Amino acid sequence: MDRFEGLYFDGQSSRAIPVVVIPLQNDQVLLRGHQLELCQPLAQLRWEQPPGRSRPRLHWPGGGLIEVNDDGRLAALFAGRPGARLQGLLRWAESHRAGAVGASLLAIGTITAVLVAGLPLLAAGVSAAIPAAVERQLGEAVLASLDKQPFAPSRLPRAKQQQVRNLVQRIEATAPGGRRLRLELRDSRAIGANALCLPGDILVVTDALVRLASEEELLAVLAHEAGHARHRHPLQMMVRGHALTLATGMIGGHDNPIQGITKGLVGNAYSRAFEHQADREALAVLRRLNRTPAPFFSILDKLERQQGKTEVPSFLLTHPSNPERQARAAGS
Amino acid sequence: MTRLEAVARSDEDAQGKQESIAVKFSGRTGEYFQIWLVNTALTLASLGLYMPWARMRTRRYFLGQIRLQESGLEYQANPQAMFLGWGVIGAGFTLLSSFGDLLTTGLTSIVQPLIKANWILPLLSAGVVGVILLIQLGALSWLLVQSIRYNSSKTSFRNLRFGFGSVEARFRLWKEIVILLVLRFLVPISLGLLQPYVAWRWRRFLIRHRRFGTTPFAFTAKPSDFRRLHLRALPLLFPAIAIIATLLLSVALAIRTPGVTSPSLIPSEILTVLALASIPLLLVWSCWLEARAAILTWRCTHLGELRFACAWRARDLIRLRLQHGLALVFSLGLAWPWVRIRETRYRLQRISVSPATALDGFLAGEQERISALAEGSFAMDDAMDGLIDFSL
Repeated sequence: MDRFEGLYFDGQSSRAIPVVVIPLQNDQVLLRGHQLELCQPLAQLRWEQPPGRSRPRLHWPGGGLIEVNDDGRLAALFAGRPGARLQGLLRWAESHRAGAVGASLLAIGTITAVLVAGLPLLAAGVSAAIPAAVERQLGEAVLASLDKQPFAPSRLPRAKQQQVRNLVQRIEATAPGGRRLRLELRDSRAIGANALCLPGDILVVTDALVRLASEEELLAVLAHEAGHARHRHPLQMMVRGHALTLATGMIGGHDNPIQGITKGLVGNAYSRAFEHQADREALAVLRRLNRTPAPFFSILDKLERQQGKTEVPSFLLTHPSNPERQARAAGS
Repeated sequence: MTRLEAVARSDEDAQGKQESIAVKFSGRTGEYFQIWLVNTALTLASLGLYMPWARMRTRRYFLGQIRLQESGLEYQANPQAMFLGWGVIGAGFTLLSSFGDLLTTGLTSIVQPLIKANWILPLLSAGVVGVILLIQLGALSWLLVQSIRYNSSKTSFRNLRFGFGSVEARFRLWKEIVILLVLRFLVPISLGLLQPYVAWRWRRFLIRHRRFGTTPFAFTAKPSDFRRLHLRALPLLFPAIAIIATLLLSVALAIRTPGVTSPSLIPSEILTVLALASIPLLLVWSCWLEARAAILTWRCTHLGELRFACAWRARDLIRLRLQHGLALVFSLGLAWPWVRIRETRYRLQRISVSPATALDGFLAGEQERISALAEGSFAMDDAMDGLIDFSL
């Protein structure tokens, strides 16, 4: 018959009584010590294993407790209890290297899944629920604040402005019944040659870009920005940013450098993915208009030459590098 | 045998009867690192939902590794209830602050047409913010009391539970803690003069309301003991005090005489030397005070017949603080489990209990039920554990 030594505490006083615990054949457990002999059915006892190297604890009905020296055979009697599986799994993970690695992988997997799929899906859902009128108001507010700071009214001649507007109409015509685009021309020395897409299908093109690009190249740039608008990238980017702030804040607390870095890196990755999608959209539009993709690549090169080549690794950037964009676009 | 020898012999005999037991801490870095890693990973994987469980397992691990004659301490909180408690408290505070915004807007729209004065709106919002802050402070201090009570009642040793205060006395405890919080707030205003009294009163609060089974803890130190301690440590602060005094005087002079932009009472070289000297001295000061206050506190803490002794040394604390600070910086925080185990081991293993025979004599009292909602203020309770270095 198995015997397990231990210390019994009756819950009434702090006295420690040395005892032996003896599991009997008929599913009863015998507790024997100095002037003490108790017997209880196994089903009435509760087994507990604290984290770390601690002696297991056997809770006796009526508030008694035995700290028992067990080699695993006593624990086996309680293996089938509800909750024992989960407790055992946690204990295993906490005491085996494989468990720690597994838990870490699970954490990395979950976070990756949330960042790659969960958060964008959530943002898409929220964006879809936002009415177009609200989105447009949002875009107008952004434009109004940009008009205060880096933007000035366009200084392009009327005819040139009309030419750009015609290009936008040609892009709209490739997707009948699609979104109505609103073109805003602005002059800005700080931004230079650039084009951007704001919420509410507002495309902003700077004078410098119009001067730099040929008509064909301008068409390609506008098609790229129209791609952003078509997929509501600006709005989604805002929603994703807020969701990211909430999610990272929930786990690691707000306003710390780690949250800032995480938000920056993940936000950049989202932005680069959007750029690739807009690139594909631009090439599709050019194909529909029976144009070659060449102007799209040549304007990318021109812009890069003007801004100076950067040697910064791509994960620090909101836009992918030109070779990467061209390779991806050529592949599609 | 001379008379002197006889006295020495009888002293030794008395000490033999008063056999003391050293507290042991059996936590290991590798073991805790695993538990910490799993806890962190599962908390991340569950997007924070596992946090109460992680917290409970950590606490159980640390308390379980504190051994007095083989038996460890046990912590038996209910994580489900803690989880709910956190949710309710989080929601409560969020609601309260948005209610404040709403109240400000509402009052503004009522008051604005009535009183046309520029100062009324800032006054109004300041008033609302003040009221909300008072409510929050009241709620937080209440949660703090309940949190200490909850954690205490969930901790046991040799199958006997600890306790803190009683249901009937909980409002008195609340009053006491509000007074303590106000006093703490006043410490900087009093230029530190209140510090010894506050240190004494915190310790008295946390010790004399605690009990093991039915036996209450007692705290026999007087405020004057702490005052003496702080006075003895004061010379270590002289360079820092000199710098602060110089800066204050310079500001005062600059206000008095508008023409002078930077009056230098003390040459800047001396100021630099003082500044360089005051940093290590501040470290020595805080460690010396910490060690001596702990020794005093444990010496003046009784539990029935049980006496405690603490043998912390300032130089050990300084060494640990330097080592741990460097380790944390260079490991980017990954050394945290190592630091925590080492710190806890030092602090606990230098505490001893005597006489051994008294350990058997405690009796159980009525068990009380305290809502786990109180666990919501967990972070504060932890901060407090650190504050008073009282791990029971």
